[in-house]
Amino acid sequence: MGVKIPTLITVCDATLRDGSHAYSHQITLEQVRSYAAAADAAGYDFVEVGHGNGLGASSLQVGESLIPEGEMLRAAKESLSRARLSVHVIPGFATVKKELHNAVDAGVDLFRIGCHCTEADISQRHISYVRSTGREVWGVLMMSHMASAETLLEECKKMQSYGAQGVVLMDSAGAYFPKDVTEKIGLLESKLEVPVGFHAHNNLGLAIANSLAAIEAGARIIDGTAKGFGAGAGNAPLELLAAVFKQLGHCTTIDLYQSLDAAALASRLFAGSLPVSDDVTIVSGLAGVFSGFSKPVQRASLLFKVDPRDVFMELGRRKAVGGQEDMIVEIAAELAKNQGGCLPPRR
Amino acid sequence: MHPAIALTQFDAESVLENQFHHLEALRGQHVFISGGTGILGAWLLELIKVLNGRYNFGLRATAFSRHASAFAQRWPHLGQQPHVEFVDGDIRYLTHFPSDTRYIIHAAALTDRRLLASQPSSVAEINGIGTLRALRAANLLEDIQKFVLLSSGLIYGNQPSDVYSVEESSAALLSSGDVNSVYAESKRFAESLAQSFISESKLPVVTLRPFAFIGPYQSLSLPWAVTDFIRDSFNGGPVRIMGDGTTVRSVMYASDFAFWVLSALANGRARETYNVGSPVPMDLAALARMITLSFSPQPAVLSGLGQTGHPRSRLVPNIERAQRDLQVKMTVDISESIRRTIHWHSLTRTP
Repeated sequence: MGVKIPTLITVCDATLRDGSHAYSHQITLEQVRSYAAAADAAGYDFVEVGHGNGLGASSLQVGESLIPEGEMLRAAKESLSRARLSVHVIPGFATVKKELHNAVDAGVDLFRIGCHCTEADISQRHISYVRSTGREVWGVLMMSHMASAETLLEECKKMQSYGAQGVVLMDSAGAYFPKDVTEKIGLLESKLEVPVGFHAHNNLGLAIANSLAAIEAGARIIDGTAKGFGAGAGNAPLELLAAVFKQLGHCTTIDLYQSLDAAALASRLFAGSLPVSDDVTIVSGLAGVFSGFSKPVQRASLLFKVDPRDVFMELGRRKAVGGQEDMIVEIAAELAKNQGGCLPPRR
Repeated sequence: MHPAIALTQFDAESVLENQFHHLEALRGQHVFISGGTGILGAWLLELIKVLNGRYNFGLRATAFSRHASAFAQRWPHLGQQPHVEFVDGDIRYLTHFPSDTRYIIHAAALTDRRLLASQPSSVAEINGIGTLRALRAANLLEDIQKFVLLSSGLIYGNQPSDVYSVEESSAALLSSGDVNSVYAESKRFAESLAQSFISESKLPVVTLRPFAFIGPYQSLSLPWAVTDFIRDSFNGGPVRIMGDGTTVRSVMYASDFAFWVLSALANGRARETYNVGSPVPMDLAALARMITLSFSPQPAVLSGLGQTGHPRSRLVPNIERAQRDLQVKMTVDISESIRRTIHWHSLTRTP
């Protein structure tokens, strides 16, 4: 497959959404305003804001947001002059009548409707609704390392038929290798009418390499976050993407220095919570487990006094996907029982 | 009268004004319309209303669909016609037609592109098995005069780039190994079933292959190019074209479409197949521009947003056979079609 370099790459900054995972969803309005303004100046096309699991996800189950999402979206919107505001949407968390309707009112420009990589059917109503409002809508397949290129193509075609104006493969577990990206993005690029994107995670240290592989395979949309601020081992750092794109001559609207400044700002705003590569993130990448499980796994492991790496390996063996957070506690409890660990006291 | 109803009535009267006499064979008959509440069904009922009201045709109709009652309630000017009966039902389970039925228009099908992707087996079942049911039931009628099968222009697959317009004799270029072919394949299967009944039972089937249409009653929620462009324009734009805008289609107004179908019912030669659509090619960029010109401020048209490198697509019918046998013509050109469609939606849509 030959190298295909598109004329203009659309860059999506997911710092204020994927980073919410890394910040236990406690991002403040001031952080939203400050960072959104910096991202706007950096020239990113879209700035994604909200709970790590998207609209309507704030809950005891997956973590409560510090501030209501409507306030968060409006604060971000007010801080953007050039960049457009996007949100992540998982049907089930977000309903059409409530969350999507409210987000339209809040001025969201792009809705990225996500689902597990083999369940595109559940995105139809949400995609259709967004199209009826005139806003832009993309389809997002999460945990895409779990499906073959052919299966992903089928699911993407469904989203395209529903009216999605772009599709993005998420490496939610940070489990891809560049050859996987080349194969999957390459097939989608050759068969779909809508632009194709890639969202990397860095569990195996390959986020930048995988993002480049995606572009070389024909992707026209790339996700990243400042300093890689995101779930698990984080995402492709935008400031690095900006530098690499510039060096390779890829066409974007990014201002390199402003991108570096935005990254520096993120370092200050989210100090102490920026992702690091450690034994847990590496194992979760190897196990192919959703990066957003990182903190819940560590909490459960602490509670049950088990090795979080074992929990990740078992989650991977069971092919756990986002939304199955209950399985974390279940596995930790089983491991504790089998290993003679300590069960938490009954209340 | 609601201005939207006045508009469609005017259209129906206009298309029939100098052509109603071509439909004389239908005077006093009973026509059964499966799928009678889609855009085609709605327009057939509009024309029947005028044929009866203005020209005393005494034409009775049964509109059969899964949502027939709901349609009759939604559009009472059609739903309360004295000569029309609305019957809720699923074509897959049809067992018989009313015994006095002499003319059948079989238009029931799954055509929503979203369903083609999500439920391809249902598409095959409804379009294929549904047609088998309809043909079997028609075969039981004592005095069936004509069975018009609505197939699809998509059965031609990819029109060769060096062919200006496809004739009915063109060979299909479909890939049966691609699930996206299921709609076209289901229609091809339906045509083959019709040929089987023609051969076995001499059932008088006329096959129509419709192309692209525009007009009132067409839902803007359907993700087709023309509906996308109109809906996005109502929302202020921009109108987004994934490719470079050079994809070529042709678009016919719905009142002409309905008249052509009635004419096929009245005048179509049994065993024959006819293309139905506009012969005037138009690329998507021009179509988008034409649509956005109807709005103020004019929405922007963005093209080249999708993946690159796909072959240009063209689908335009050759309609010489239909013009010759059915005595039909286009009465509404594309710019007027767009103007009337947008006007109708502006009168009926809820912001």
